[in-house]
Amino acid sequence: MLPRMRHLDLPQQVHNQPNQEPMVVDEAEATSEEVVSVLNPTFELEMYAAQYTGLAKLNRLLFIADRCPPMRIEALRLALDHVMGTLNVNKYQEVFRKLCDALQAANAQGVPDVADTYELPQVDAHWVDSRLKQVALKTEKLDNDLKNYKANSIKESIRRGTDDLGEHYLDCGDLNNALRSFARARDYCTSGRHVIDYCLNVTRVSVYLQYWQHVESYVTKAENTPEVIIATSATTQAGPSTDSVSPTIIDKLRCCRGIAALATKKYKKAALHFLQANAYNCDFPDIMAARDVAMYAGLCALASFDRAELARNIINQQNFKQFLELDPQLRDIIQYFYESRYGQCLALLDSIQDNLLLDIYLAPHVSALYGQIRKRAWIQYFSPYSSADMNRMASAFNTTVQQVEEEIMQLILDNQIQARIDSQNKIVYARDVDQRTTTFQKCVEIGDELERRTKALMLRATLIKHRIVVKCPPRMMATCIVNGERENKNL
Amino acid sequence: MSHFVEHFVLKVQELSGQGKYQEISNMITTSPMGLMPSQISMNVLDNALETFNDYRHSLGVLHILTLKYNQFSPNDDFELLFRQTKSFLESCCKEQVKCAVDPFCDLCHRFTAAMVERGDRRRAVPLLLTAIDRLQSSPSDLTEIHGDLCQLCLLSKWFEPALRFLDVDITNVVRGKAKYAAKGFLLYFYYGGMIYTALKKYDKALFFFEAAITVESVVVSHIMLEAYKKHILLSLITKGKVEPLPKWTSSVVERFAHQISKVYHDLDSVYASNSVNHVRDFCANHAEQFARDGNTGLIKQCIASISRKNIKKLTKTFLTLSLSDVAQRCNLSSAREAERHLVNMIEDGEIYATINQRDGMVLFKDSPNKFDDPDCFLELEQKMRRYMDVADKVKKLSENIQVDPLFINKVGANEEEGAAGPGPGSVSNKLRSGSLERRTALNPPGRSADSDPLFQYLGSTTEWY
Amino acid sequence: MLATEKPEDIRWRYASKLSELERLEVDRAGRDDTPLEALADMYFHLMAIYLIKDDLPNAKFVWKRAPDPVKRALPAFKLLHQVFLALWGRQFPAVYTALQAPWPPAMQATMDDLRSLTVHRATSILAKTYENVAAEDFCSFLGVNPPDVEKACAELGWRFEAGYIFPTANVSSESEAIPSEQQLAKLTDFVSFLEC
Repeated sequence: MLPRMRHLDLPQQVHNQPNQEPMVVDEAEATSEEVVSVLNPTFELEMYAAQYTGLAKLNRLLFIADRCPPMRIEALRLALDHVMGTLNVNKYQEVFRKLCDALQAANAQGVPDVADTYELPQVDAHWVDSRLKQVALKTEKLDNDLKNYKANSIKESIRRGTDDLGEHYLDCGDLNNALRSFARARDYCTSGRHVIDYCLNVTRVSVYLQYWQHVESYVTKAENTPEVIIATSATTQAGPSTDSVSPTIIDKLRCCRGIAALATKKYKKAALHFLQANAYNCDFPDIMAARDVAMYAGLCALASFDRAELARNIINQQNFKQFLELDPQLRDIIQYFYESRYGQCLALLDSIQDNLLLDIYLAPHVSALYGQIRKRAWIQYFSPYSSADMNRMASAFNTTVQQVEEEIMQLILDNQIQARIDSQNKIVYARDVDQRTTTFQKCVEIGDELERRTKALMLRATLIKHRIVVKCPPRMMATCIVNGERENKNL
Repeated sequence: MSHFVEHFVLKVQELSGQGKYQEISNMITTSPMGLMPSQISMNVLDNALETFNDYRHSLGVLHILTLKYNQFSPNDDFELLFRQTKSFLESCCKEQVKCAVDPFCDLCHRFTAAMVERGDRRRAVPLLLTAIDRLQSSPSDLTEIHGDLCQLCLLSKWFEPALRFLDVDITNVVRGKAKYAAKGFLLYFYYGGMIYTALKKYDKALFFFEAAITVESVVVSHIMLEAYKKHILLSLITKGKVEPLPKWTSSVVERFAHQISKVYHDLDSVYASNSVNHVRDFCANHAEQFARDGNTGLIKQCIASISRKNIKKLTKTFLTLSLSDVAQRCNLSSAREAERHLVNMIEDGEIYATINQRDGMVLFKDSPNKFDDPDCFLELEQKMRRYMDVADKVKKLSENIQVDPLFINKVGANEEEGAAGPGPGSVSNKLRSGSLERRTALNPPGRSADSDPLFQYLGSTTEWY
Repeated sequence: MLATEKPEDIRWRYASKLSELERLEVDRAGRDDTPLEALADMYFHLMAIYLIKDDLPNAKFVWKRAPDPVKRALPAFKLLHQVFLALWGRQFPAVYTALQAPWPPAMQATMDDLRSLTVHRATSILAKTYENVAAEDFCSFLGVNPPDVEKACAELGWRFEAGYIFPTANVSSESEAIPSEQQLAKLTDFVSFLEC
C-alpha cells in the first residue's frame, strides 16, 4: 500500500483528517446562520430540477426539502426518483426516511392539497439488495482492472481506470473515495488535456464537498495549462483544431471558481469570475444552470461594483445581456438599479428573495448581498446632494424615516458617506471638510505619534545597548510580581 | 572579633586609603573572604560597621550590610539595621558605590523588600531617592533601584517622588554585570505604568506598559504578562480598541501573551460590539479572573468608557439629536443621564456640542479649533520645540554610537563579510524594520538609511550576545 | 457673589506653596519627630492645593496615604474630603454645601479660593455647553439662590427669559499678540530644522 500514498498529493489532507479545516469552517458558518424556513417560493420545482443532473440535482432538491416546507414532499419525491437511477444506496435510504417523516407529518396535519399521498411508500428492498450487490461487484471489477493496468504500467489505461473508479464512487455517493481516485490520475497524465480533465474532476468533487480551497487551486492549475492559455487568449485564433479545449470546460472552471469565491464571501471576485463565462457555453448541469450563473453574477456585481464598473461589465456588455434574457426579473433589477429607481429595484429584489434562499450556494449570502446592494443604492442616491430630506429618501426607498436614519448613520460610521444627520429637522447634510483644519489636526496627531514612537525607540536602543534582555533565569520569574501588587487592585 | 572579619576590615581600610576601590569590589564579588555568612555573629558584624566610616569605607560597609541582610531573621531588631542602612545610603561615596553596582542594587532590593514586608514604606522613600542619586551621573540615568522606588510609592500611595523619575526620558542605563538584570527594569516600567494609571494619565501609562511588553525577550515574564493585560484594558478605555503592538515586540510575546490573555482578547471583541450590556455581562462572567489579575477597577472604567465611545460616535453622524434619542441610542437610563454624560464630555474636551435644554436637543459641532489664533500658535510652537528636542536627542544618541568602538568594530567586520555574509538574525531584522520606519518618518527624504549609524547600530547590537 | 479673579491668577498663587509642601513631605517621611498638628496641616494644605489645581487623582491619594491619627487630629480634613468627593462626582450643589463647612481661620482663604474656582469652572461649563439652560440647573451649577438668578445673569451678562438662561461664551481675553519679528524668528527656526 505504501507506494500508493505517493500519488495522493492533494487528498492527503482529506485522507488524514476527514474533517479538514476549510470544511469545518464552512460548517460552523452554516450552523451559526439560523435556518430559515422559506414559505413562498415562486418557481416550478419540476422545471427547476430538470435543469440539473447528478449530485447537483440531488443536493439542490434535498436543500429545498430542508428549507421549504410547502415543497418538501415534492422535492423528496423527485429526489427519490432521481436517486433510484444511481447506485447511491445510502442516499436512497436517507431520502426515503425523510420522505416518510414528511408524509407522516403531513398526514398528522391533514394537509389537504396532497390528497393522494397519504399512503406511505414501501421500501424497495429488492432494489436495495440488487444495488448493493451491483456496487460490490463493480467496485471489485474496477479495482481489479486498475491493478492489472498498473501491473502492465500503461499510463493511459491506469488514468482511465482511476477516472472510471472515481465516476463509480461518485455514482455511489462516496465523495471522499471519488476525490481520492480522481486525484490519483495526476501521475498518469500524458497531455495537457489529461491534466485539464484531472483538474476538472477534482474540482467538481470538491464543489460537492465544498472544499473551496481545493476548487481555487485546481482551477488555477487547469488554467495554467498551455491548452487553456491558448484557448482563452483571443489573439491566437488558430482555428478550431481537434485538440482544442472546449469553451464549455473553460467556462465550467470559471464558474466553479466563482462559486468558491462566493462561498468565501469574496463577492467582487465571484462576480468577475462568473462574468467571464459565456451564456451559450454554460452547459454543465452537474454543477449549475446558466440561469444560476446569471443570478450569481448579477447579485454579486450589484453588491460590489461601483457605477462605472456596473456600466462597463454589465450594462454595456453584450455577452451578459444574453444571460439576462434568461431571467427577466434579474434584468429589471439591474436596470432599475442603474436608473436609480431604487424603490422598484429593492421591491423586486424582495420579491425574489424566497427563491434565492432556496439556492444551495446563494442562500447563506442573501442577506449579506442584499445589505451591500442597499448600501450601494444609498451611496449612489446621496452622492449628488449637499442636503437631502429624509422623508423623501424614505419614500424613494419604500421605508420609514427611522429606518433611513439608522441606515445613513451606519453608512456615515463606515465612512461610506460624508454627511451629518439633522435629526430635529430630518435632513441629511453632506459634510464639507475644511482641508486646512484637518491637515493641521493630522499634522499634530502625526507629530505626537512620532514623538511617542521615537521616545520608545530611544528607550529601546538604550536598553539594548546595555543588553537588557528578558531571559529564562534559574530563579527569577517565579516571583516576578512582588506582593505589593495585590494591594493596588482597585486603582 | 572573628579574625576573618578583622582581616577584611584592615584590608578594606588599607585599600580605601589608597583609593583602590575596584580592587575591593573584586574582592567582595569574587571571593567573600572565604567566609560562610552563618559563621559570623551579628555582634561581630555590628562591631565591624563601627570601625568603618560610611563615606570613606563605603564598599566595606556595603558588604557587611549585605551579610547582615543575608542572615537577618524576622525576630531580629530591624530598627538597628534600618538605621545602619539609612546612615550608609545617606553618606556613602558615589565613586565607590559605582564600583559595585550589583551589590548596591541588591542591598536596595532587600531593604525595599524588608520595608514592604513591615508595611513601613513611607520612611524608605526618601532613602531610595538618595540611593538612586548615588548611582546616577545624570537625571536621565535608569537604575535597577527605580523599580523599588516605584513599588514603595505605589504602596504608600505617594507618587510625587516617583514622578520625578518617571517624567524624565531615559537616555542611559546604569547596571552591573549580573546576567539577569531585566527584572528591575521590567518592574520599573510596570509600576510606572500603574502609577500613571492611578493618576489617570493614561497615555503615559500606555507608554510604560508598552515599554515593559517590548523589552527584548526570549521568554515572557509574569511582569510582561500583567503589563500586557493592563495595556489591553487601557487601550480600550482610551482608544476604544486594541492597537497592534509595535513591530519590534519580541515574537515570544506575540505568541504566548496572546494565548495566556485570551479573556482579555475576548473582551476586546465583545467591546467592539459597542453594547454596554454585552460587555457588562461578559465582565460579570469573568469577574473572578479580572479580580485575580487586580484589574477590577480598570474593568469598571472600561465598561463606563463604552457610553463615551458611543456618544462620540453620535457626534460623527448627527448634527442635531434629541437628548432622549441620545439616551436610547447609547443605552442610558434617561435624557437627564444623557445630558450629564454630554456635559462631562464637553467639559473634558472630548466632544464639541451645545445643549438646548428648552427643546431637549443637542447640537453637535466640529472642533472649534481652526488653528488660526495666537493661543494655538503658542501650542503648536511648544509641540514643535518638543519634536525638535526629540530629534536632537536622536542625533546625540547617533553620534555616541558613531564613536562607540564596538560599533566601529562591528561595521568593519560587516564590510569585510560583504553581501554574502549571513544576514542579521530575526530579532535584529525586526529591530531594523522598526528603526527604519522611524527613520523615514523622522528624516526628510534625502538621507540615506545606511549612512545613519544609529540604525546600523540597532541592526547589529543584538548580535553581540 | 460670583468670582472676579482669573483662575490662573489664583492657581499661580499656590504654585510655589505646592512644591514647598511636596519637599516637606519627603523631608518628614524620613523622620518621626514631626508633631501631629504639623503633619495634619501639611496634608490638609497639600490636598487643598491639589484640589485648587484641579488635580483630583493626586488629591485622592493624599487622603488615602494620610495616616489615621492625622485624619483624627484635624476635623477639617474630613470636611475637605467631603469637598473632594463632591468634586470627584461633579456634583456642584454638594460642592457648595461642603465648602460652607466651618473652616479654621488659617484655611478659610484657601477654601474661598476653591469656591471661586468652582464657580469659575461652572460658569465656563455653562457657557461652553448650553445654548439655554433652565434656571433651576443654573442655580445648582453656580450655587446661586433661586431669587438671585436675575442678578447673577446680569452680572454675567447672560440673557434670562421665560425660565431659561441663554449663556454667551465670554470672549476669551485677547492674548497679547506676539511681535511679528519674534514670530518670524521662530518660523525661521522651524524651517531650518525641518530642512536640515
